[in-house]
Amino acid sequence: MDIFEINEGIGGAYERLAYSAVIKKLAAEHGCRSILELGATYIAGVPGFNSCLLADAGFDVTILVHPRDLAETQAIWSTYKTPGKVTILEGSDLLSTQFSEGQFDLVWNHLAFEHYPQPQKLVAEMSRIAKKIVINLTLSPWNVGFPLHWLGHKLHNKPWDHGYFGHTTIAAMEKAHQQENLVHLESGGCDVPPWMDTVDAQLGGTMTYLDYAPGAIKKSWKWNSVDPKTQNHGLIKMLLGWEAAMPDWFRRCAAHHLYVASKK
Amino acid sequence: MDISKIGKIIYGYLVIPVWIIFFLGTTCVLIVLALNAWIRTKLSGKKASAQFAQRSIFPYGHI
Repeated sequence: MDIFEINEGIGGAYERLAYSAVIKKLAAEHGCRSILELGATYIAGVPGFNSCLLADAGFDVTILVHPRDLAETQAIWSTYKTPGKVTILEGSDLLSTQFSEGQFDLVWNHLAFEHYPQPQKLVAEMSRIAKKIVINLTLSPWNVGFPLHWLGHKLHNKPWDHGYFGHTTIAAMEKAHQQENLVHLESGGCDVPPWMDTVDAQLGGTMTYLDYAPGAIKKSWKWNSVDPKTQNHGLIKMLLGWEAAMPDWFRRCAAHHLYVASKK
Repeated sequence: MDISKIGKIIYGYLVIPVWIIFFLGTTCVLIVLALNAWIRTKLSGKKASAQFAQRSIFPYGHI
């Protein structure tokens, strides 16, 4: 599959651009070169694709992928030439990995923290293999889409697979980082577009919601975070500009994701 | 505090009502798209296929 053929939808593409901007900024500020995504998740309907913009920015990226998603992740990345070296490894235990102490400058993951009853164990492993920075991102419980998505799970008798509510907050992440003696760098909300987070809700079998629109509209409404056409689109630039300008308290309230970054 | 910093703060707060108006608009659009998808699937009996098979976000399970 050609990576540019993936349609993430505007929400998926915007999400990757927003959280990648936070990680890139922190990595640049602290002289990070090697980045590990510990536990790639199936975000915005694409498996193992979360670190695409970090590789695009020239960082050496390692991605630990669950066996379930490994083949598709390798297929997606195989067509993508990036300035940074990309290594895709298989792994199903994020609490005990094959990596050595301080092997990566920066270790991060997306929507993994809230799934653990004792998330400090995850942070402990991230801290062990990180040389400089540890970043956790969670699904924000304050976004309007969150309770609606929870209701959708209830109505469809679908088991809740988005982790523990209590672990989705900034306070929970900060506490786990403190317990591992990490030094706080920053925390906040990111991915604050003016639409609700539909999480992984489908409309008629698809997460790109214009699949039922007339063909011309469907074809023209294509968004891919690594595509320069998306990155330079006026709407995306405007919304990222709004996000950067708005007060921190509003970002924390309205963001789709919350994050905490700490250094060793 | 210099003028440019004050200007940035004011702009940041002015963005909020515009953001809320956009949010209400996109919520209406989502409702229309959901209705459209529901009607189309009822009429045709077929669902659109996603590029990747649907699965849980987090495959590692609860530890």
